[in-house]
Amino acid sequence: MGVSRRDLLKTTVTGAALHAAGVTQAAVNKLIPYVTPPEKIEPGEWVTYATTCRECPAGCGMHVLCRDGRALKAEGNPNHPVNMGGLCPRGQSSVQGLYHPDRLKKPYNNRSKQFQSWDEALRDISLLINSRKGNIYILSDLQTSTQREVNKSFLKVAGAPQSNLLVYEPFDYPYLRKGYMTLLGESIIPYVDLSKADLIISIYADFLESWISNVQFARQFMEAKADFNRACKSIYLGPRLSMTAANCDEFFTLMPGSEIGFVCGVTRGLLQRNRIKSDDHVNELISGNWGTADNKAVSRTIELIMKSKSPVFLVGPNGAAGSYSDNLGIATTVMNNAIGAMGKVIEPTRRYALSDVGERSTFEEVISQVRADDVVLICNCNIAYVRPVAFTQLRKAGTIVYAGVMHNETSQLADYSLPLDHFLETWGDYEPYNGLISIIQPVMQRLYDSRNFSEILTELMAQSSKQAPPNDWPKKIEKSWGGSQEVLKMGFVEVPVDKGQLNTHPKTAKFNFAKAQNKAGKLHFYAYGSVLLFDGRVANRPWLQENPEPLSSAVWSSFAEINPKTAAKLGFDAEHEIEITSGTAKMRCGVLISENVAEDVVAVRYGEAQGANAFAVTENHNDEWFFPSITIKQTAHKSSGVLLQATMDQYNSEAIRWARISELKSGQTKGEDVTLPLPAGYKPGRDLYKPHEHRNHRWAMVTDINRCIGCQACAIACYAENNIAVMGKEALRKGREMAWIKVVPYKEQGGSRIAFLPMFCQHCDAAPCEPVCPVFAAVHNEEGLNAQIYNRCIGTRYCSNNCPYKVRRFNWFNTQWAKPLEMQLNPEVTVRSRGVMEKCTFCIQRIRQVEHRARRENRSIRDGEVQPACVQSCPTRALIFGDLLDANSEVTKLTLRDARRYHVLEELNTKPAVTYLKRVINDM
Amino acid sequence: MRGAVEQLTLKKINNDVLEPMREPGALYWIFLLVTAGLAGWGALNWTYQVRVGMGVAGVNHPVGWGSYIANFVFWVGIAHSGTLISAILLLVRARWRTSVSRSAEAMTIFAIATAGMFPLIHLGRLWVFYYILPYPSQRQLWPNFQSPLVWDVVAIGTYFTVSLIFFYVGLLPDLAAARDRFEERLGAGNIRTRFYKNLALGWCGNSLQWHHHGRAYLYFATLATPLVVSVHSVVSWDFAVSLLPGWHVTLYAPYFVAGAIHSGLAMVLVLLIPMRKLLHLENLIQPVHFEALALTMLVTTGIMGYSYIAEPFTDWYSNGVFDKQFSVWRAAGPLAWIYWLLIPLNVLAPLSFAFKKVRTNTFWLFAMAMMVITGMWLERLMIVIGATWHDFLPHNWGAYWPTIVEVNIFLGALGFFLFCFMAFSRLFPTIAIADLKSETAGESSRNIIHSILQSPVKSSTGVLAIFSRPEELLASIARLNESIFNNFDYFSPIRLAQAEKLTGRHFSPVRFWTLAGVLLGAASGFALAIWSAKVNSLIVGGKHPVSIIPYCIIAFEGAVLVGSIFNLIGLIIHTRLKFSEMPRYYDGRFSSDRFGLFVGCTREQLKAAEKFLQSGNPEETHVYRT
Repeated sequence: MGVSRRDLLKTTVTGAALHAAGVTQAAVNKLIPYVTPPEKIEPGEWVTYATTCRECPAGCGMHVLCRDGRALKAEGNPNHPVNMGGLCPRGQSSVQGLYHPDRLKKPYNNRSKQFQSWDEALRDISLLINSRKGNIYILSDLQTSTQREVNKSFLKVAGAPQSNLLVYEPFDYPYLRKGYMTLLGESIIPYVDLSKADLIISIYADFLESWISNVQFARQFMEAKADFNRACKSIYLGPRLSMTAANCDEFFTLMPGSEIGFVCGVTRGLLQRNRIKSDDHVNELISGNWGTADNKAVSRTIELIMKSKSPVFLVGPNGAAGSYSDNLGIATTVMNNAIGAMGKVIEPTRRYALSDVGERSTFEEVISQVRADDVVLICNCNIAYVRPVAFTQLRKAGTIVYAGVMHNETSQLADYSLPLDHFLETWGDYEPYNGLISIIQPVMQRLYDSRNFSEILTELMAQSSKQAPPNDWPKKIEKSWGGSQEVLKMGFVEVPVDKGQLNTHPKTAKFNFAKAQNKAGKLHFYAYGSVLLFDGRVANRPWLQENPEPLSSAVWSSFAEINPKTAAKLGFDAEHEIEITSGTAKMRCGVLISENVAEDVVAVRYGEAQGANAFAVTENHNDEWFFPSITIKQTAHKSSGVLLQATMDQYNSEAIRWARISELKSGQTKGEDVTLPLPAGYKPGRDLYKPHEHRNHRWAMVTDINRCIGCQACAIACYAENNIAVMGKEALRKGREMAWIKVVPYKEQGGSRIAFLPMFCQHCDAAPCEPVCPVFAAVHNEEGLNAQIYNRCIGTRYCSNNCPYKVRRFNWFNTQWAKPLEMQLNPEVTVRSRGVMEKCTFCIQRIRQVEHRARRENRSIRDGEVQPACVQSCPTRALIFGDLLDANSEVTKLTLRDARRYHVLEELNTKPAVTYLKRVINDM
Repeated sequence: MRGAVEQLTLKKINNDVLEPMREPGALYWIFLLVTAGLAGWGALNWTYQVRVGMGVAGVNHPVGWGSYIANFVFWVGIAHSGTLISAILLLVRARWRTSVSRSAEAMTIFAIATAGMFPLIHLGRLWVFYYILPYPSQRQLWPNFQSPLVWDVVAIGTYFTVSLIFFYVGLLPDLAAARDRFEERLGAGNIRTRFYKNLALGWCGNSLQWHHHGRAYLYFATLATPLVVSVHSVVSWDFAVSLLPGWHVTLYAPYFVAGAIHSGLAMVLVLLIPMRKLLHLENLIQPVHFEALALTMLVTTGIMGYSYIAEPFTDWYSNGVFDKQFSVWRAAGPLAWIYWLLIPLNVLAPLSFAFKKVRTNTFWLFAMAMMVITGMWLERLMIVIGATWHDFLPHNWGAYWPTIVEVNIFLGALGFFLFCFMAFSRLFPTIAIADLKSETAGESSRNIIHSILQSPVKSSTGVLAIFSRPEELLASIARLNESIFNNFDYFSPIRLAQAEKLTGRHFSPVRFWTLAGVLLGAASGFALAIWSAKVNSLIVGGKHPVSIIPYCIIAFEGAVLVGSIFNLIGLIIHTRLKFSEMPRYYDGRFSSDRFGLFVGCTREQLKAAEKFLQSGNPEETHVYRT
């Protein structure tokens, strides 16, 4: 290997020596990477590195668990200010991105159709840059701090204007920037602290899924909501009942085109009731003819704001652009200012990194100037996918160099594709918002012959100019956070920021769109950013595709969600694909006829594969609404989509139960009688057998359904931790998913409320699966776990049949992991062969680790010390794990005393160890 | 019923039954080849499944049991008629059973062999199937005797063993008949003669053998009767001890047993109606026998009908949310077509047997029996896949559709079964010859004469008389009481209870063997289950490691199994059955239609003995000197 193990050690553990540029590295692809392990890396010991998640612009802190020099599991950094320990499914899946088979592995010259060495490739490219007659551009995804500086200095050295640095993010919220530009004179996206709100009014903003910083919002939202004394209210207005909408207390459908009218109506109402003061902005807002909105939604919103002390408006949707959304952005910003959210819930002095994304108009303008003698360097931005038409314009450039991690649409169409380091392999820094510097550090040796983008640019600079700055990008990175070991361990540093002056009312809000159009009867295209696929950059990750979309339960497939009435009107059925056309752009997908979508709306998830790419449609803006108008027709093509769940109806199973805050507070709601998975749960007369004792521990879980937002992070964490096989579309169609956790949406019986039921093995004390096993493969262990002994299992599948929760999974085939995905496998968990049953173990390997550690340190296990992967990942702390034999543990307290406690299918007397806490209806 | 049979002579019966055992024709070979090919095709598919994984079948999450288990339950059901006819009908003395019992027993064995393969086919890891057997392993881990699947193994294993022994013991006299017939036609050295000679264990039909054989057979029947009822009850508990709506039904044991007998009798009809024609057994298997089968089916039809009503009724009466939902779903969901088809197929079709015109018409009998078989298979399928398809939580609701591999394996199993049955029909007497002969010959003398005679003979010097009628033999035996000869033995193709009485045999020690076996078996069943549970000391389902209630099943099966084996051992010991060792004065006709009386005496008494025997009007007498 070119880089010695010692080097790896230095770079990763001590942080003193950084990767030197241009060192060739061999891939770490042996079964056991070390014969003689380097010092400090003990074989079989876990090493944790703090780094920063770069799967979206939010910049959550990440802990990556590594073993034997391989990154195996990504977790949230519990101290990181953005996410405080939780991590969303996309962040959880980053290790799968690292080991993805589709990674770029070598520089590739698309003109000569040849792989090149880095020296050749960089020589070629620098030759092209130096001999170019035209301009040079860098098109990058959102980068801050050092990378941004290097980008800029490259343009400087290359003699190009700084405006040639284009930063493009598909979800860039131009309407928010427009709003703050109008209100404050600054094009920013300010920090929102939802924990300070007592009323959240979300207009199309899926803040728990994909809007700006979803893990942060999920955490803060729950902080505000789960405190019954504060009882933060939330209301969602939008065309589709999204996961976020399902978590809000109330949901209203707005007629497309009446959104600004809605804000206007609320403003008028609040003015009448003297809740807000009139100022120039407000006057400008209400003077417009914005049309009317649903009176019920308006009056209810007014009513709630009147009761609220710190309300806030959040506005979406993701990926919207154009003047209609700009106007809505301005209107809500004006409202936020008027109702006093500014400075309270919204902190304009802290700006999200997204504030640095270029204006769309600038982007369009710059790319329209691109000519044949220009050179474009693209960094990690899959522009050909998110802006297919813009890319054809960009493609006029003589040379396009794509530097990225993955093979994608852009890499295929570029002249050169250069493999970039995955963010888990390299150094960097990222500022999620000003004042928070989050460190990116390599957690393992490079898998392939890839490089950091700074490294590439520095090399190109050195080749093109004598005055090139020294190759000191690693130094710069180190400087940005001070280079201290403590900081490196923490993974971030908070620096004081210049608060500046909050400059309100620099000028009057201007709405450049005077005439409102009510769009009743027309079809509206609505694209939404899913918590799983986001803008599609992670769409090729098997875990995310295998996992059902929180509400629609779609896997491996794209659907257009259409209201049954609309479907009937159009004469659509669920069998055939539809074709959506907007201008010249076309997309095809299956139809999901669902009550969760408003009439006349066609809702599509971003991030689907080519052909079903929603970006192709949204690119074609026409300023009438958030998204362009479309025409739609059903094709003769059979739809191949797969939905895992046929119904959200509970059919009186009472799997999810609801309780009212008022009754909880007044003590009217008493905890239900639950049969404990302890000796106390055995009663003569009901049980034929005597109770049994547990040794030392009785592990148990409490699942707070009120806190569960349905984001699926736990499910992905479970895939990552437990080597769960990905089966693929056809297997899932046949009901052969392997997920140990399913987060199931259910509707309130007779109502419309939706909540999520995380369903995993209940580790019942009287487990129905156990006695039916003929060979004792399913047994109760001494600590109360329902254990599955894989090498004893002969595959009768009786246990699964007899499990009322159906949480057991059978291995129908031997699983193949596409290379090098097998490198992610957790060595502490058996990879199951065909023919055996498997299921949730409460992450027994983690329990054992903690038990060993405690024994070594001669102490007892602390409450909360054992964290199964799902518990660790949960952004909202909905899962609590602990020991029921410990009288002071949190699970014991909740299980014994919480007024919301209940067991799913309690009447079967399985004595489950998972106690659920009811969803709360906020009636305060 | 007896009237028709009585016109037959012993010789004719012997010939009629043994005649099909000649070299078969081309058509037979073609059929045999086709069924063997089917079985092979099924085996290939099974191999494919083992190599690739269970995923090639249609089973999925949540429907973990599919057509394989349905086939298992179905075939176990089919296996019920044989032992029912042989054991229960023997005990209740339904004499019509004689003509159909042998085929039914054979069918039982093949059906249970077929059934026994399906749980193996169904296993995710066939290669470690032996984990389920109670054997002392290095890891000191025993199977879980609380699991219904272990009960299954034990019940099916016991049933197969007992049925096989039962079949074999009943077959002994007929094997001797086959042996003697082949010896007569092909000579003693012929491989077929030797085959039957070895199988017949030296059966010569003498007084001792008939005496113990009769007793042992009766004890077998006594053991097999509860076993028949228990086997499908145990199979039904695979479902009933679960907690799923649609499976957790207390009615299941009688419902399954009735269904099993229902389908088993239908299968007997389906097999015998063509077999009777093909093997030219019209004289022996007569419409009256089919009629009797049809009438028996009317009883099971009634139980089936009752069960079909009782099931939704209990669901409704329980007022359980999930039970009621399941009941409605079963009647109106995707499996509704099966649910509603069951009534015409399993109830209305056999109900037509109430009409004499239907039950005496072989075509209709065959057609209705086919409907019942189809209906019962569908019922099994519905039961197996229904409950998991639609259980408690709606997000777990699934679906199931068999794959081509499953269809192939189903066909393979059918091929295997038919292959076995066809092979049987040529290799073994398809009708219980000795039983049929007994009915034909009857027993004329009803006088009970207490005897002080000794048999069998101790010397091989003596005189043998051959009679053509049993009455003559009995008369001669009776006269022996007044003679000086008290050392004799007789040979008979049929069991002569009268002769046994004359010879003073009332008591057979085989009963002690059986009793000892039963007690030992029950004790070992409990001992094994309790001891192994203590070794394992594992808690499952919140139960104490030693859970006596389920172990009763193990003890019961142990009692029947060991009891039957001991019975067989007792029989072999007391009748002194040996391989191919025959008395030298044995005549091959004794297994066909002649009766022999051998009087042992000293050389000096030979003349007197011959004279004595000739006065009994024998066909022939032979004098044997050592």
